[in-house]
Amino acid sequence: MASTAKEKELTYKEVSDSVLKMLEVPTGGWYVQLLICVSLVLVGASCWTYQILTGMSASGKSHPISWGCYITNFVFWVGIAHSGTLISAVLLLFRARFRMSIYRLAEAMTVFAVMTAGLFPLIHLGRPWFFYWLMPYPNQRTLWPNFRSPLLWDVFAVSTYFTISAVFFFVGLVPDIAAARDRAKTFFRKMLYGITSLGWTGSNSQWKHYMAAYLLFAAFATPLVVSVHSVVSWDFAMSIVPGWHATIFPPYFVAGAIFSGVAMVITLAIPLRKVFKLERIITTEHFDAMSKLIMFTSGIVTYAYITEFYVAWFSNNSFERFQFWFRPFGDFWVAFWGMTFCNCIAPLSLWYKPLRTNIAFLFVLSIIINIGMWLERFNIIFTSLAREYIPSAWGGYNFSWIDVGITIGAFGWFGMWMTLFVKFFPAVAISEIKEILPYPLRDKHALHH
Amino acid sequence: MSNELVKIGSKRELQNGSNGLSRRQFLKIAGAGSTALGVAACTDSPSQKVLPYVKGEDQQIPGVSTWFSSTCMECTAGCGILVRTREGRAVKLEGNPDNPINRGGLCALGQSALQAHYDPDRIREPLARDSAGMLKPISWEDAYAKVAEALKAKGKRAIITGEVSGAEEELIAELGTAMQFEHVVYDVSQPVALAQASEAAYGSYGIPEYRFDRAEVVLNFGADFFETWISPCGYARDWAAMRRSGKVHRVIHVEPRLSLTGANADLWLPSQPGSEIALGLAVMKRLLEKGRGANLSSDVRAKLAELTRSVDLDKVSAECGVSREKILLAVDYLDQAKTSLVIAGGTAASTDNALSLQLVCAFLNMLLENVGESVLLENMRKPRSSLSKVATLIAGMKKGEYGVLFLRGVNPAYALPSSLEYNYARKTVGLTVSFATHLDESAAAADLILPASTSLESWGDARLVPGVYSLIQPAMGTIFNTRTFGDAVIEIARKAEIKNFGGGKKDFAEYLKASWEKLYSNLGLNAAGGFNSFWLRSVERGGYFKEAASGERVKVKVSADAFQIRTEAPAFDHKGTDGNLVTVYPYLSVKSFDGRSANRPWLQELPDPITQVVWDSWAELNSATAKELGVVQGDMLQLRNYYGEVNVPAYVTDYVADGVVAIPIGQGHTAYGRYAKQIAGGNVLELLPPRSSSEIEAVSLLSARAQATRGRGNPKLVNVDGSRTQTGRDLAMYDLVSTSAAAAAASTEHAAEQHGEHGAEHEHKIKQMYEQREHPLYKWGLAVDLATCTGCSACVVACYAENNISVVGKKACYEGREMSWLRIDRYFDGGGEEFHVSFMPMMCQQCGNAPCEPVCPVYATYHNEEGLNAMIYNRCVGTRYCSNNCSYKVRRFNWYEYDIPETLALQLNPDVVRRTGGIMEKCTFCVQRITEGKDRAKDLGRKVQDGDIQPACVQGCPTQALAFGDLNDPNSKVSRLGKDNRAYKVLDHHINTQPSITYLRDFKYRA
Repeated sequence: MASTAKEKELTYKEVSDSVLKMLEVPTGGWYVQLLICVSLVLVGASCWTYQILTGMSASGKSHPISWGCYITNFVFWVGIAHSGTLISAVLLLFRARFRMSIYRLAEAMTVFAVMTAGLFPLIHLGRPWFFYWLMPYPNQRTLWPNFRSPLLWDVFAVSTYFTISAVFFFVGLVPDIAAARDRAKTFFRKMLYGITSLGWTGSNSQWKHYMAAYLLFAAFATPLVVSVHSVVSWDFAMSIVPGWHATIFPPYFVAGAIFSGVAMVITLAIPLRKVFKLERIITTEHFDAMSKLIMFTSGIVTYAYITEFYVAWFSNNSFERFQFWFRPFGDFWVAFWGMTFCNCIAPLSLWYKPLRTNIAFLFVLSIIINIGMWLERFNIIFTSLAREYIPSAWGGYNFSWIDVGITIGAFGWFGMWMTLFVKFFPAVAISEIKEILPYPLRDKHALHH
Repeated sequence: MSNELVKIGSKRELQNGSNGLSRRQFLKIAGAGSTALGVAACTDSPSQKVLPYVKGEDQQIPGVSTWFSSTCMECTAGCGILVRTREGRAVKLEGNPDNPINRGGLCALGQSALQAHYDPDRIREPLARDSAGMLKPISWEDAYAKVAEALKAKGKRAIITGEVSGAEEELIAELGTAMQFEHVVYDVSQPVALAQASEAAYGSYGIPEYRFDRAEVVLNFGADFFETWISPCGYARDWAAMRRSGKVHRVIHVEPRLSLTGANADLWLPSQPGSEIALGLAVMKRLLEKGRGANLSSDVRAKLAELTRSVDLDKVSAECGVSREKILLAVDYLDQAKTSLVIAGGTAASTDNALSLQLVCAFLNMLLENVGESVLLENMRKPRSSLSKVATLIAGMKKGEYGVLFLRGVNPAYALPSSLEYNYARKTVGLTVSFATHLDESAAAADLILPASTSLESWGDARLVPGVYSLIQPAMGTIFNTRTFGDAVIEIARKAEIKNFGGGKKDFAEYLKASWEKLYSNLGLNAAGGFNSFWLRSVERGGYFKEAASGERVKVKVSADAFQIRTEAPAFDHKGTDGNLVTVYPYLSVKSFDGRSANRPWLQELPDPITQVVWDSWAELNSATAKELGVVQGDMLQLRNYYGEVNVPAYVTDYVADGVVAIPIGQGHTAYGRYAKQIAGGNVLELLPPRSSSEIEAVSLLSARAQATRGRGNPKLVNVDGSRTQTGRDLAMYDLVSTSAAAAAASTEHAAEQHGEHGAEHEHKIKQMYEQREHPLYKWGLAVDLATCTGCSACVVACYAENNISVVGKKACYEGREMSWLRIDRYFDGGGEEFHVSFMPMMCQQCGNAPCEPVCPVYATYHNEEGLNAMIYNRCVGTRYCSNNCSYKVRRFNWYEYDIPETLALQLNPDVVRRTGGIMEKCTFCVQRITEGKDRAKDLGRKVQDGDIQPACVQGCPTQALAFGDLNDPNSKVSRLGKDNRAYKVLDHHINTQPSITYLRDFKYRA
């Protein structure tokens, strides 16, 4: 940003003003959006209630496909959750400065996406009221979970990831909350920011400790970027289902997660930037950088797809081969070709530079990629389970309204938290953007002398 | 932490009963309490009626099964059964190994008799039609009085029954003598034409005894002897014995539709409907040319030669659609075999030419010198079903001649071709009295219903085969306010003031005993303790079974009628049609039989062995015919002719002849019960003409043509197979054997000795990263011989019954949510000469290296020390990961909290817990039986031996294709079979699951 030679440089004041302006009294549009999100949450909640009352039959799952829509959603949302930590922690360690304007948004997205993803394993349980049986704690039932089960690893991976990303997110927020506190007018906001800013004064010593802690968290969070989705991929890779049992899954899932996460950041950043007039803070340069990240991860994902097919052929394993014939040409061919278009072909357009800075195009493309990544998980889960070893037990899936309702409800849930967040907390990192701006006073001073 | 542990420890002590209540006492109280609860739960009936004390109270020990020998009355085979009762309820039916007819197995239909017994739609009390025409409850006394009143009036009387025998037949005969009742028997499943042909050809009316265990070659024109024909359990057992013997054994099946027997045949020759007679004559001609028939008189030989003079092999081949080479091959096989067997039956042999076809078969048997070897005339079954008597009766009814009509064990309103107009004729009868168990079409139209008790609640006997005298004893008290048919008849006679009816016996139980006393003296028996000890012994064993007589052979007496063979093709009635003609091919299936079993959820949910259809009626037609008619799989197909109309979903297959539409009989009820009525579409018998031939006493099933069009609606045909072929995956393995040398190698026992080394070697080649599991005491295993598995599905129903498996209904099956722990995978593989149908029972393989176990996050499934993949239901949270990871797809998830209607719940096995919604369930080799068997062995102070434990599927298998036992014991049957050179394990070489189930490759003898 500093590198852009604009007619007028951003100033500290402008950053603070434009960001904190977001926290002002909500407009009608914000309420409408919140209402829509909450309604969707209610739709999802009623669907889940119905499912608990009638049994898993309410969803479209069946005998061979006993993981379906919910696990697809789970993997999808965990994937979305990925790029937050990547952008904030990994890029921090790599000193990639384009992250400054978008990382807060990405982190918020991470936390809320994990909160969404975390619901799905519960929703998908046959007896969700016993979910705590998966937790290892000494209990009077003298029972202990099975540490060999990848599902248990999931419990740890996701809960660790949630804890770390939530803490990291909150720590990053503290100086900005203090800035908001200093401008807060209503009693409620004074209390909210007063408490959550943890007595931040911006003193030198505070900054010194703060930076050390922040770096530490970043270092701590970085391996999680790799681990969480690797562990999620093991849900599949550790099984012996043809189409799942593949060593390529962890890197493939991580790349896919970053791919979808960055796309989701773009999907969220574009309307945010428009509504709150942050064009000077989140600039086209940032979108260009994110587009390149998409191009890169799309390439990895495409490579992984090809590798899967190659390995299926090379293995000379008839079950694997059949599975990879079934994906493009079987009952679920629409999902396969949809995925290929969305994830492999559509992102190729970004090689043309003007499109990387064309905001409208990027918005559409990011949604296409999100759809594509949902279809990727659909492909992995549905097609593999539909055609396993025993032909007489092959089967299909009947999408039910409950599946659809809960899936939509998840978007509502995620949207609800995002909507609340942008109104109550600074969605762009004020202090960090200021880090890369020229120091106003010193510059003036320099000019003076 | 330490505190925690102390607490847990002390809790354990409490559980062990260190003070106060001892564990034994607690269990006693709990047991008694649960019994009381179980009884109290049957709110629909007075509780004192539910607990029978047939043999005194000392037999009622809570938690311990009591077994009663009895006889299966589902079809007329007369298989012996053992009824397992718990706390006064019958919970399971098993084959009686002592009965010479089935010798232990029990088919799906027989297994499901329990559900007819506990059917919530059973008639619960006597009903009479009131002035408004509604059926209203009435007391038994009033009901008897009503009948007695009607008997005072003038008018003829008749009783229509199904096949009856023994004391009941005698009692009905007394109805005739004392009250002038005409006795008319009707049963659509009876091979009456065969019995008639025997009279002409062999000299005595009846169905000969067929010995499939002696026939090296069987030429079969359509008889589905694995599913419905005469005595499927017994025939299947004999056939299996022959296959196990190692002798080359060929079944050549000629039929327009691939039936279960056709699918198991070594050679299936699809024929054009009605062409079988020509084929039979061609075979006869060829055999005569080969010089067979030296044993026959020259007169007979000459007449047969005359009969076959005009037969031209090429013309026959063209007419039948069976190639000349195949016909010659069949003749060669028959000629070379020491003993062979030629039979005809089922729909293919049920044309207006049926008698001629049966006569041809009889002569072929004579030519091949099978009579006395595989065709025994000594102990013939004598079916009494007679269409001419039915037709005469109906004609009389139409004239208003009949004042009283009794119906017993028969549903003429449904099972007679509607063109015979029973429904119209019955309206003229003064009083129609039905002794039905269910409100079927005929009972629902009757004036008075005296609900009969089922054979599980009644005394009775079956003397269907001379020498096999089976007893029926009540295994439990009546559930509803019902009475045994015999009791009701005796009461009616008493009310009608008939003197000395039934020898003045108080009730049917006494009548039966008296009848057996007569039998005892007639047979000239001389038991040690006199009749009483004979009686007790018979009740205990399930009857009296005469040792096989080695006496005189019956001499064949060919009558002149036997040469009245019509050589031309049978005629088909196509009245009322206009183009798009198809041949209607109604057939009996084990699922719905003649309609009597349509209200049993187990059978409705049982996948049809060939089509795998559940909860439906269907119309099989081949793809060419389907294309002509413009229908695809699952479309509604409408068949219409002068006589009626049916609308049935189309099932497109390659295994029916061109222009044939095959529809199972027995569905499309308009009454009968909630499950039967769910299957819409109509009754295929409605398309049949009244009587196509005056000489045959059976309904000609293959006598109608109909106009076929694509009907309306989306019937959502549900077939539960995921694929019709195994796509080249070697799951169900088979060999198409041609030489006798190969056949010898295929012999089980022989091979076990020869190839023992090979098998042992294989055992040690297990690749494993982790330490191999130890099974110190037992390691349970199962062997499945695919060569003797016929796919009859008895095991599937046995499993449902034993393990309280939920029946889920059509919608859930459509969604792929059926619950069968044991299913039979059916695959059609290869084409032409390589065509093969596999039936592969697939249940939990109890893998040594189970994919399901490590993935469960809560240890709900684990490997126990006896090699089972045990499942702790109440530990399961329902992640379903185990099901995903199960390579055999044998785990079932409870998608719903399944409901079971009131009375059907009385059947539930108290040893097996009912599973709740949201959890996984699976086969554990009937772990409750394993526990029971181990307990028994422990009491005897020894280890479990072969035969101590039989899982339900193993017990029910009519062919003994399944064997269960301890793999740790090298001498157990299952261990020996594991070393057979046909032995293999499914998928093991791909994914190292180390299953405990050994499959033995199927083999079929081909040219």
